[in-house]
Amino acid sequence: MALARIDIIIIFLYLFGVMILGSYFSRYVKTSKDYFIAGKLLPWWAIGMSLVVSDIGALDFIAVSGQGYQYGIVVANFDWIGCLPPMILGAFIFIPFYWRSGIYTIPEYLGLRYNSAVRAIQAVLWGSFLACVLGVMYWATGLMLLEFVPIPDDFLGGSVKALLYPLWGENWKIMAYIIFIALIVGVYTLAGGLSAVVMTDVVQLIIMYIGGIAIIVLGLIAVGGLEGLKEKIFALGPQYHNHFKLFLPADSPSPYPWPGIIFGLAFVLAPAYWLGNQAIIQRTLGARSEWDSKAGIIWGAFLHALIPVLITFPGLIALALYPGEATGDTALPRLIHKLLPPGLTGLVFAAFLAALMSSVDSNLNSAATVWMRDIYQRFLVKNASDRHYLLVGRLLTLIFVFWGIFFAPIVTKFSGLYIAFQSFLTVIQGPNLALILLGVLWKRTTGWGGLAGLLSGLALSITMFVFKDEIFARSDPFLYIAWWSFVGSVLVTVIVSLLTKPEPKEKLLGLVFRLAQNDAELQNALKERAEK
Amino acid sequence: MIALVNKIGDLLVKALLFVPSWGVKVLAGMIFLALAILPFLLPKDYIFKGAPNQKLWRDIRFWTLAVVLVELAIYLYF
Repeated sequence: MALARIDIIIIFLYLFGVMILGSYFSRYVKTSKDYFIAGKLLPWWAIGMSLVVSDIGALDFIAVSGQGYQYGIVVANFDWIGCLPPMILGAFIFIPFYWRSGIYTIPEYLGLRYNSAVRAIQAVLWGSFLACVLGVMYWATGLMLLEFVPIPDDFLGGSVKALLYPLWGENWKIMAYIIFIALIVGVYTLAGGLSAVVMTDVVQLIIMYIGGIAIIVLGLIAVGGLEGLKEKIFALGPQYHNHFKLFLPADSPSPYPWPGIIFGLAFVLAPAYWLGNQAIIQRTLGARSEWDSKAGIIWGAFLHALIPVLITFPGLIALALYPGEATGDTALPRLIHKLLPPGLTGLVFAAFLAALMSSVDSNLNSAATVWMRDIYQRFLVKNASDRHYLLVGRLLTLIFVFWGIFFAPIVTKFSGLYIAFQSFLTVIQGPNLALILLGVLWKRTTGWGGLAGLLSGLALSITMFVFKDEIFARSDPFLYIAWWSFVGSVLVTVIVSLLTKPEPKEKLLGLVFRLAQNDAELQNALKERAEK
Repeated sequence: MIALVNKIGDLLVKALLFVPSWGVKVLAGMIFLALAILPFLLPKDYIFKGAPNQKLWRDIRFWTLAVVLVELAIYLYF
């Protein structure tokens, strides 16, 4: 795709603006609390906007529109029934408890609620995942950008190739994009911490919405509106007659039959993601009040309701206009190429960059937070000064910027690695959710119960993942793996908890729903715990 | 063991095939309605805790109701 001069100007203005805005927030970072949870000063509107844009990456635009092309509107479930229920539960039941307990990370909450072993396992799982997935994100980003805008061999007089080719060979063009994006995101995340991440997210959401809406409006005009879109797709043949159904039959050969959507997605994967994913939760922990944390999530849910329109409908529009593709992954690039005039192409490209950078900066900040708070501060250097932890936090952010860059090309060397990281969330989400739900809602859950539930749930999901071809009839049974590992983990946690000694009430105050009788009692419990 | 798991899985799928598509929509609708009602069962002080005032626009129970109704309409339409 060739970009016009006006497109390139828009893209550079956007990138420069975001970097300046993000770096501006470095003036508010004086302590580690400022850096990791924005000094607990974030307003509800910024939290809501940041939640949405952190959840949606540039890959979602490509992959989900591709899935929309192939399977239809059923994939929109991931952003409708897969978001609203857990966000409401999070806003009213779970997040207020996280916020009140003053934690920085989810493993920290689980450590307080269960024991250090649960915290350590969770920290290692999340810390490794957040760090490694950076490389995967970078690589996918570089690939996508190169596909949109190829870099010529003689770019900048051939100096870029001369610099990068000796290190990365034929991958130098992808690496050029990766380094470019990683450095921009790295500069403002390193300088301003969570405040910079959230405030740049606000701008990025606006850009993402403007770009996304532009494609949809022009696309719908091209196909004759929603009714025209339906008519054109139904005319393609009976195999497309389910393309406008949100629920597919239980024996549907697609990866999204309704039992998987309801039990796997709505009951397990979505709540686990929205209630337990550090990269998502962290901005709610930085809210300036408990009300702001709740309101931010509901505002985010409201904004999120438009997302499926922006990322699924381009696939449907592309199907109506250009049917016959083997996969839908080229659907969106083709729409942009064919429908958008110069200027608007630059804006949509900026929207992609916005989606991409907002996910990378959240991951970077969360990786540094988990490694600092749950591993370095908890197990390595316990009683250093706050200045020391702030410095280490920034150093870790810098390390992860370069780690991501150097790890990215390794992803290509092991074909299974990319899939493994993609599947990693599926494997850990079931047991994770079991521990969070039972931890917050059932005071009888014990530390031993949580540890046994976590380990057995992980063992179950790994076993199902390894033997998935023998156990499941469909090729990609991740929704069912999530559901059954959750059920297994709940059962083991409940049984072991009932067989072990109940936790004392003073350990649970402020960590279990409705356990504290009044606010003073809760505040005392939290203060005592903080002093230990 | 795997054969047994497969048999149970087949039985479950067969049983779930009896649920009509409108039944699944009703199930989804019930989930959404339950979520709309849930915040109204919680004490008002808890809803407003930390808010600078208790003006009507700050009552996030109504925000929740609005967003649930939007998605409920989508699920009824599709």
